[in-house]
Amino acid sequence: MLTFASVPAAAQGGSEPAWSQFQGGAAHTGAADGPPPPYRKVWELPLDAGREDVALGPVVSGDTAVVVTDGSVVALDVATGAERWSVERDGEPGTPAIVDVEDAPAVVYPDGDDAETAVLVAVALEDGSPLWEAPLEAEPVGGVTVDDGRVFVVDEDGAVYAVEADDGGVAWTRRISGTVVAPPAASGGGLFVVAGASEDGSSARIVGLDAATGDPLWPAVVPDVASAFGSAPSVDADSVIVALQDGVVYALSVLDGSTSWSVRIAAFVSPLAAPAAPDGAIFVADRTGGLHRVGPGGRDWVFAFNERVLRQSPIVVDAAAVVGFDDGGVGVVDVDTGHMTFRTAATGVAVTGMAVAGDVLLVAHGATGVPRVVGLATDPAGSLVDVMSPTDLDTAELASSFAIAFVVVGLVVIVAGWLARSRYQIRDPSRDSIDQTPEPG
Amino acid sequence: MSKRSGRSASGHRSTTKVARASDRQRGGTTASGGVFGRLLGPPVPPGMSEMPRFRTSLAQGFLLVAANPALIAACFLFVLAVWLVLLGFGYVGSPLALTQVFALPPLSTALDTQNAVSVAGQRAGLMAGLGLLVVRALVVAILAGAIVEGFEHAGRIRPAAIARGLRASPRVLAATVLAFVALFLAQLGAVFGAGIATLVQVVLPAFALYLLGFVPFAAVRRRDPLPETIRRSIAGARTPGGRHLSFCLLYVLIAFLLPVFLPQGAFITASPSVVTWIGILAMTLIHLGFTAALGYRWLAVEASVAEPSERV
Repeated sequence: MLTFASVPAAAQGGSEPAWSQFQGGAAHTGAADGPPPPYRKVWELPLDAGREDVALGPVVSGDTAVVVTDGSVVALDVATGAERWSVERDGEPGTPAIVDVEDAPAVVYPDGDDAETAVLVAVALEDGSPLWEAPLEAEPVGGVTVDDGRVFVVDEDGAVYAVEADDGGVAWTRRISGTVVAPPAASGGGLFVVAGASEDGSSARIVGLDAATGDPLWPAVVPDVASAFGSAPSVDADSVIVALQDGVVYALSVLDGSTSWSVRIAAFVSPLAAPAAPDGAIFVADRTGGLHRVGPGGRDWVFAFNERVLRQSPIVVDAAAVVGFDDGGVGVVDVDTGHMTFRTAATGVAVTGMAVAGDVLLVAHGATGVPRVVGLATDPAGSLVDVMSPTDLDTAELASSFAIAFVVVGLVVIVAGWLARSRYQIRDPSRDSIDQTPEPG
Repeated sequence: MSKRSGRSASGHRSTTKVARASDRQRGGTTASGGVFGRLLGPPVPPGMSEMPRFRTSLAQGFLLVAANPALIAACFLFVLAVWLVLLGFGYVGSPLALTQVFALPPLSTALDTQNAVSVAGQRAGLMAGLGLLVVRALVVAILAGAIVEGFEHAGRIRPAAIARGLRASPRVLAATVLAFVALFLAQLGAVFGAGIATLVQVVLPAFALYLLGFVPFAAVRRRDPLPETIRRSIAGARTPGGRHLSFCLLYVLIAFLLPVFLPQGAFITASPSVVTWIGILAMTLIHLGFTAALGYRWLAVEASVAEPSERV
C-alpha cells in the first residue's frame, strides 16, 4: 500500500541526518535550512586521489561529512575540514549515503569495477570500520539511496537491488532495461528510476517500483517524443519530477505514472543532475547553466549563468537556489525574484556535489582537477547583488546595441560600396552575353 | 540559331548568340562519362565557361548589395524583428541563430525549424516549421526579385521588385519545400556516425542549393511552370566549367563555420552585445552578397540554358 505524502527532505527517515544522501534525502528534494549568502571559504580539504578523480557527495551526519572518490571514501570534520578517516575503494564513484545500521550511523557506498568485485559496502561512520558487504552482479552505478531501513542501488546491467540496512541481506532484485547513471529516488513506499535509452535505440523511460517488493507500480513511462536520456529523478509530494532530453520537465503521478503536468524549458539537463523540489516549486539546472523555476503553471523564471553544469544538481537553502558549475564557481539565485544575488569565482575544478551541514555549505570539486571539498559559510562582511538574468529583455540595451552595430556595419558597407562603384560597375550579365533586340509590337 | 520561347521579365525577347554554348552544353553532356560527369558537366578550360568566375560573381553580388542601403537596412531590421518575435514566443537561447536569418534554403529552413521546435516543442515546432516555409519562400522570392531588378537596372532596385518576387513566390515555395525534404534526408546521415553525418549535413544542403538555388531567380525572370523552372535551374547549375557545386559548397561551409567565431555567440541572452550584433549583421551581409552572386550567376547562364524544344 503506497501512502504518498509531501515529506520535507530534512525530515525523511526520522532519525536520519539532514543531508544523508544524494540531494539530501531519499526524495532528492535538495532542500534544507542552511547558511544564507553571501559566502566565504572557511576551509578546504584536498583529497588524496588521482589528479582528475571525481568526488561525489558530500553526505552529512552530525558533524561528519563523507565524500567518495574513484579510489577512496573520506570522512571529514564539517567545522574544520580535517580528515577523520579514509578507506580505499575501486570503480566508478557513486554518491554514498548514511543510514542507521543497528541504531548506529553507517556509511554505505558502492565498490568494485566488475562483476567479481562489485559490492555494496557499509562501514561505521565513527571510524570507517567494516560492517557488511552485499555482493552485486555487476558494477554499481550512480550511487545509493536509503529509505525506510533499506539501501537501493542499480548496477550497470540495469539490476535494481534492495538491501537491508541492518545486515546487508538482499531483499529483492529487479532488472530494468536501459542505462542508469543516477541514484533512484524513493518516497512513500515507491522507488523511481530513470533509465536512458538502451543500445537498441529505444527511448529513455521512467520506472516506478514498489520499494517493499520490487514489483512495478505501473508500466514504464516512455515519453511521446523519444529521448536518449533523462535527468536524475526527484519526488515532490505525489509527483516524480524528471527532465527529459526533449527539453521538457515532467511531473508524473507516483500512483499511476500519468503526466500531472509538464513544462517546456527547451534545454538539456544532465542525466547526473536531479531537479530540486522544495515544497511545490521545482528548480532545474540545465547543461548550459540555465537555472529554471517551474511548476504546474509553467516556468516562473530562468536565470542564465552561461556556465556548463554537468554533475551538479541545484539545491535550495532557505530562499536561495544554489547551483555549482563546471568552472568551479557557485551561483545563487533568489527563489522569488529569479535574480542572481551572489556568485563565487571560478576555481577551474568542477563542482561535483553540494550538501548543507548546519551553518556550512559543503562543496565537492573534482573531475577536471585535483578533487577537494570546500566549506563555505555566510560572510558577514560580504554583500549581495541583484542581477537580472541575461534572458530578461533589456529593451534599452537591446536597442542601443543594435543601433550602434547597425550604424557601424551599415556605414562600412555603404562607404566600401561607394568606393568600389567608383571603379567598378554593376553589370547585367544577361545583357553582356546576349544580343538584345527590342520585343516586336 | 536557337529560339527562345520564354519572355524575359525585362521586356525583351532575346535572340541568343550563345547557341554555341547550348550546343557545347548538349554535346558536352553526351561526351562526359559517369554519374558525376553527367551531373556536373564536362570539363571546360578556365575562362571559357558561361558561368562567371567566383570572384566576379561575388564582387558583383556584394557591389549590388552595397549599392542599396535601403535593402541593407530592411534586411537588418528584419533580423531584429525575427529576434523580437522569437523572444515574444518565449525563446531562451543564444542569438547565434540570427546569423542564418538570411541564409539561403535549406540552411535557413533548418534554422526556422530549429527555432520553432525550441519554442514550441518537437511536434508543434515541426508543424510550425512547415508554416514558416511559406514565410521563408516569400522572403527569398522578394529578395530574388530585388536582386534581379538591381542587376537589370544598373544597381537600382525599384519597388516593382516586390511584385515580381511575390509573383514568383509559389514556385519558390515549391523549391523551398524540396530543399526542406533534402534537409530531412541530411538528418538521416546521423545513422552512419558523427563524422559521416557532419559530411552529409554539409554536402546535402550544398547539393540542394546547387540544384535548386537558381529557382528563385528563374522564377522571377520568367513565368514558366514549376517543372520547367526547376529544369532550368538544374540546367543552369550544370553549365560546363562553372564549378557551381564548388560555389555552393563554399557558401555552405562559410555559413556553417563563420558563426562559430561570432563574438559571445553562444552566450544565452535576450540583449546581444554590440560586438555580437556586428557579427550577426556582418553574417547577414555575407548571405546577401552570396545570394546576389547567385543571382548574377543565373543571369549570366540563363541564356545558355537550352529551351525544351532544343533538348536532344
